[in-house]
Amino acid sequence: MTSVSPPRTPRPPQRPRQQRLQWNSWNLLLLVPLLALFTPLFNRVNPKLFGMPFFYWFQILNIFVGVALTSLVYMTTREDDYFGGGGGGGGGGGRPDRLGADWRDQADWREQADWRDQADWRNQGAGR
Amino acid sequence: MTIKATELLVFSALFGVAAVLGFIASRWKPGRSMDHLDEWALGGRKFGSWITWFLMGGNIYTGYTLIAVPALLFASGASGFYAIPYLILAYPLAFLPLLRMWSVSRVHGYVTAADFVRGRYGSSALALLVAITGIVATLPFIALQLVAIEAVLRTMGLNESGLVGHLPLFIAFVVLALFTYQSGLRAPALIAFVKDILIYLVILVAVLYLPIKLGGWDSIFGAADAKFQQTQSGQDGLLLGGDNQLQYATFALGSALALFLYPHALTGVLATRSRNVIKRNMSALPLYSLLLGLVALLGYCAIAAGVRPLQNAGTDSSDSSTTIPVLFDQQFPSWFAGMAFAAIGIGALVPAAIMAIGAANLWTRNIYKAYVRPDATPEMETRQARSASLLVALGAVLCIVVIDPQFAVDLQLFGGVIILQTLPAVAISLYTRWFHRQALVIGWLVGIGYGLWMLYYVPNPATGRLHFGGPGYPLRDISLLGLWTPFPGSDKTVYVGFFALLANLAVAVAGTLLLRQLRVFNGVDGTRPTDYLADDSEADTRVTPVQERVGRYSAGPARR
Repeated sequence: MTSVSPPRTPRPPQRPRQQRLQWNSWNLLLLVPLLALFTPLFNRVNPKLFGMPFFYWFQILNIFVGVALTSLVYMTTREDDYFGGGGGGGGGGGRPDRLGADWRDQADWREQADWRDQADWRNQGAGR
Repeated sequence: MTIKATELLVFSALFGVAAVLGFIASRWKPGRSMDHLDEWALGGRKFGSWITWFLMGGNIYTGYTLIAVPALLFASGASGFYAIPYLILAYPLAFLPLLRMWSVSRVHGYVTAADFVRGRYGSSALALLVAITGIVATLPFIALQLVAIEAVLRTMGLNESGLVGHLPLFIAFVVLALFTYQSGLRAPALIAFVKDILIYLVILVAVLYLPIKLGGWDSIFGAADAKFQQTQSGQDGLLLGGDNQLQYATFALGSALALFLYPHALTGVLATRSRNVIKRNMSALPLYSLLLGLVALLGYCAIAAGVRPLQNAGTDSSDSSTTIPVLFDQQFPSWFAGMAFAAIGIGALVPAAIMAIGAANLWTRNIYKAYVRPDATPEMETRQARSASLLVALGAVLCIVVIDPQFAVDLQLFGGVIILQTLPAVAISLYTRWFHRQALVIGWLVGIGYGLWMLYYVPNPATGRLHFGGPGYPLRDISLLGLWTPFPGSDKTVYVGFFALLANLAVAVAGTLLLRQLRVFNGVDGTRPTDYLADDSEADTRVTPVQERVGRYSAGPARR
């Protein structure tokens, strides 16, 4: 769906390859509800249900379809997120992506007055 | 007009319970310190699935929504039903981007979308634009919640003109502002429970009872059809016409894309504990859409019941937001109507509080901290955000009292268009850093300028207004700088925000290509690819426990 082109900003040369996107084909189900935008499909009166024109009950029914699809994606991708994907050149899921303890402190970059200093720690971190 | 004592009594009692809950919420699951935005504004970033479901339900399906959507169907029929496809689409589309947003925010401690933009592009200017957009888009939304409260108050007989007429609203406002100041996000989270029990009870009874009383859905739709047949306008009817189908679809899509760009929606998402909480909620939140779909049909019940909206003594015009309150007032015993009004009133308090918090966060993090006091400690930030939430709420109430509720409606329309213009900088940037930050700024300017220009030229023949008449722009008037008109003579209309977004994207892409060619510096990315996948688990050391972070800050002055 989305490809990531490398930004032109200077990067440390020995930066490890990291998984950038977690992809699961089940995610494609999330695009199905876009059919709800195709008005000619349901802009009609018949067949009625309990006296309700098709336009109304069909769209209300679509809510359940949406719920079913998102639930299905949730259930099929539930296990993907533990360990945040394979990092550090590990080449795939299931491996804990443990970052060094120093990373904890770096995550608090916002307490630094000038965030640009952060470029330095990124270079250090990559060589870890 | 007489005051309806029973309704008012039931309403006041339930409203009072909600207010008390709001104040004691500060002691609900307390963190180590309230002097940190993670605690005040995000409830400690630890809300589980249930709390989030109630909180987000109150956040998205607001008190105003519950009276505005049926009022739309009451007035113009099928086109008002766009809210249903909008909310069917919003969750699947936001499902994956929100997970990335949550993870990167959790790792870096971002509180707002603008925080993320600043980290991603190293640009305070772009973050400032995103922040201002968020604040401007949120303010009218809060004002509309107050409109909802006022609509039920006026229906209960407190329909005076002038400042006296706004006095009950002031009381509601003071309650809202104070408990938000006191308890932060915990207040709406706790109140949301009460609100939801009330609202489900009221709606289920109404939806089962009213059709029986009014002769079944067949005759209700028949009455609505008869009403629309009488009008000369081609824009209303039980079904969509030939010219407004495109608008129906683009409005639904545009609104769906915009939903989670709103600061209050994102605040609710960032307050969750883990990625799976978000996934579960994206699956379960649409159950509220079912509720909204049924509520929307109450607009037709109001037609069948012969409801006439109240004459608002404050503005001296027919107030369409009183349609549903009047329906309840006419069709139900007064104690039940009082409960319904309380459900709407409390349902307006919950989102209003979250919106005030979301706007206050943007002010604090991306304007105050970025430009006024770069050395602000977390304590100072929290103090600033609390005061800002008071001001935001005050601004909303003044908008209603001093200007005109209609102004809030117009501004809300504008808000939806402009918040959509932050999509490239926020949502697309979660996936790629291909766009150049300066191109994003120019795209934003073009999108907002074009959107505003189009909105200005939309007339509304039904109300006789020449400008800001609605969200649909005629396709025939679309032109490329006056040189090329792609759809001459077409009577179809399209959602303004949709075209504004297309213009925004086109400019951003062209600008990026140019700036890349010129090798202009595109800032430093403060995030790492794995940050977008982090989750709250023991193994993930990137994610510092909030308690630890808050505790460290509150122990003393910030470390250097």
